[in-house]
Amino acid sequence: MGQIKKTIWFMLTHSKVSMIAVLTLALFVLFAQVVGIPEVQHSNDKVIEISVTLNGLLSAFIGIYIGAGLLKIKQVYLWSTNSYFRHTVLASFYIITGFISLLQTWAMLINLEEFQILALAPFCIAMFSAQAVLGENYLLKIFIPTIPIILAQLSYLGFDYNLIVLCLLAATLLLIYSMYKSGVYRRSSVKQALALVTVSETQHLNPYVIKFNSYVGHFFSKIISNKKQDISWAISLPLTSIGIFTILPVLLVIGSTLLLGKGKLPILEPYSLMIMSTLIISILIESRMLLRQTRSFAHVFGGKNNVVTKQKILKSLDKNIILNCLYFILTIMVLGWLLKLEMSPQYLMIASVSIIIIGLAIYPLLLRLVWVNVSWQLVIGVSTFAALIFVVCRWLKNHNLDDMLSMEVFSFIISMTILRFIAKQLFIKSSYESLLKNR
Amino acid sequence: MTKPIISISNLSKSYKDTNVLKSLSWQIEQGDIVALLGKNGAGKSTLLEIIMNLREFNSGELKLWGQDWEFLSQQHREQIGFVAQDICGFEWMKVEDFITYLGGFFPSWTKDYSDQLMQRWNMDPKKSVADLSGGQNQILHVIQALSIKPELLVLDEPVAHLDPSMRRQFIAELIDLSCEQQTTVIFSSHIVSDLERVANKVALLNNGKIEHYYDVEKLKSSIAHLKISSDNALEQSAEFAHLANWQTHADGATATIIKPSEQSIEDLARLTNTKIEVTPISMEDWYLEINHGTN
Repeated sequence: MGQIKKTIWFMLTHSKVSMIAVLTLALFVLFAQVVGIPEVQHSNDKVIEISVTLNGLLSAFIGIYIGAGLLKIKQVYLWSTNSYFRHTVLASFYIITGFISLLQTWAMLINLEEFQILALAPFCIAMFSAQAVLGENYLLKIFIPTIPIILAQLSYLGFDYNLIVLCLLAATLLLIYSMYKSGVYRRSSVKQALALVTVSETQHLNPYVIKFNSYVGHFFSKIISNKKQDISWAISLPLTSIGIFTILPVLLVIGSTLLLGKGKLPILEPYSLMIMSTLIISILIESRMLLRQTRSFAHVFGGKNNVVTKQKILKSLDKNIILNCLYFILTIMVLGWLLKLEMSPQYLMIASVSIIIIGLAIYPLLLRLVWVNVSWQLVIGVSTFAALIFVVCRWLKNHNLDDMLSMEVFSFIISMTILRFIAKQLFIKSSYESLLKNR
Repeated sequence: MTKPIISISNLSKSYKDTNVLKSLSWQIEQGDIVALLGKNGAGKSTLLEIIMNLREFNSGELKLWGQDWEFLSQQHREQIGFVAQDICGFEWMKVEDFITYLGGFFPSWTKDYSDQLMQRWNMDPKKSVADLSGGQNQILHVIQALSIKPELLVLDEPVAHLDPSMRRQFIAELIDLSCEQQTTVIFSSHIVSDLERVANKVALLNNGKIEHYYDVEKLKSSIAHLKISSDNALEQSAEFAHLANWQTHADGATATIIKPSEQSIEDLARLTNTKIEVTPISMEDWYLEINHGTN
């Protein structure tokens, strides 16, 4: 039992930044179900739809996170030589995933009028989504996690969802059985495995991210090596510098919206804005990791304590954040309009600009922090960023958008300008040594 | 005496409770090729990164060409090349893009010269940086630093991943560069035999200070290795003051003495009543003996 406890603890804490992200999402989903949904008068079908969507999303993240922990343990040779080790690790994986799923089941049952087998779906979804990291090859990595989505689509063909969930449960049992039977030892190095799991947790970028960036970088190599001392190519990857980074989140937003049925739920706006906020954080984490690349030329620029280099870093990041966010929201709006999705372009645009302003104001502070380990500063910084966005978007939602020359808007701009000034000064005053640190 | 290119006085640096550098003073003259030695964790990388203005120091003074970093002219800034210890990054670039991109920060960089260097080091310019091995990656960074024809070159463990033939080539490049352009080079390494081939000065960083800073030739004469032949094992003579090390063998002993002179060797021969043979000492021997002494 002691070994199981230790393994569970490792699986829960193997990547602290991701853990905080998943926990935040879990708290949000539980809060929404326990407090949010009962407050709104919806039909039973609508409640089920919202509940399944929220829990499905959470289960997918939990499955990937816990699965990533299992993947790290699978690197140990004992996985293939010692069945006791393998069974202990797998039992820990099922216990922890099962326990979290049970909480979700409880939260779902609050909103369901009677017990329905549907409430067991979170565990199945978590099991399948874990295969996105555990799958032995790309086909399995992509195919297995999509099985619950494929089965869910059967409801549109008139199949009873209880029957669908029964099929899903049977498939989950098969999956668990195959995991117990398979002693395949992943021969990839720990470094590769870590890089596969997450970008932000390692100093090494995901090899596929590098490959994809290589294609783009080689295409733009003439611009990159134009000898203009452009620091932005050193602190951002080509996909980010050019703004193509936004393709993936756009596909995520549009894909999810279409999967849920366009026009059924007004999710495009909050979902887009939420993803846009994480886009800013992603750009920031990427730059924070790449700052070390400036070591061979940082001394070329003048000023005390590398002031000019730091100013150039901020200038490049300003450009990248604005460019990527605008590309993102404009693409969403164009696609939303083409696909006739339910949205308010005016709200989306104003809220996006507000998020960009908040991002530009606060990111110099966040850039000073080390993102690999969780610190109080990091938690406070990210929470402040998220809280500011939440307050502003909520205010905008309840405000007449044709009247934007109000005192509140004026105060917001002034306060963000002051925040940016303070954040910039603190960033410039921070030692270059601390910026190069990534451990 | 030529003008110092780097002048450090009373420089201290600490991390939390650890004092890495303690009132360190050091001067490096133009055209010198200086090997910086020290045990693991002695603070070599910290010192080199302080010289590169990448780390702050707690107290003291650091001047390059007689100026603080803050007031260093743009021309001088662009004449400094640096290779860090943990080379990484730019994995998505091709070798030629990497060299050209970083070369853009240094006006003295020319494509012709970097092409020459790449050819000499058998570096494929079309290869992706991600596909290079650890050693090739190190070569790439060294090529980049050399290609700007720097006046000052700071190299932190530049040969750690290189095979012996590549290390020889690296040494030849450094010597060429120093002869052609009077480039001042400071480099740290653990491969002491290589340092001996290229460095004209050697510095030993120990206890947060430059404990020894010698011309390589003078260094070799500052210490002597003695073979003392006898019919039986010889115990260390307590009366002899210059001993750094003494090892008793069945047929006598071996000893290392500091600041040897004919007189001191004769004194030892008289004290032990034996025949003494002086054997040449390599820099590696010197390093080991000095470290033994400091231990």
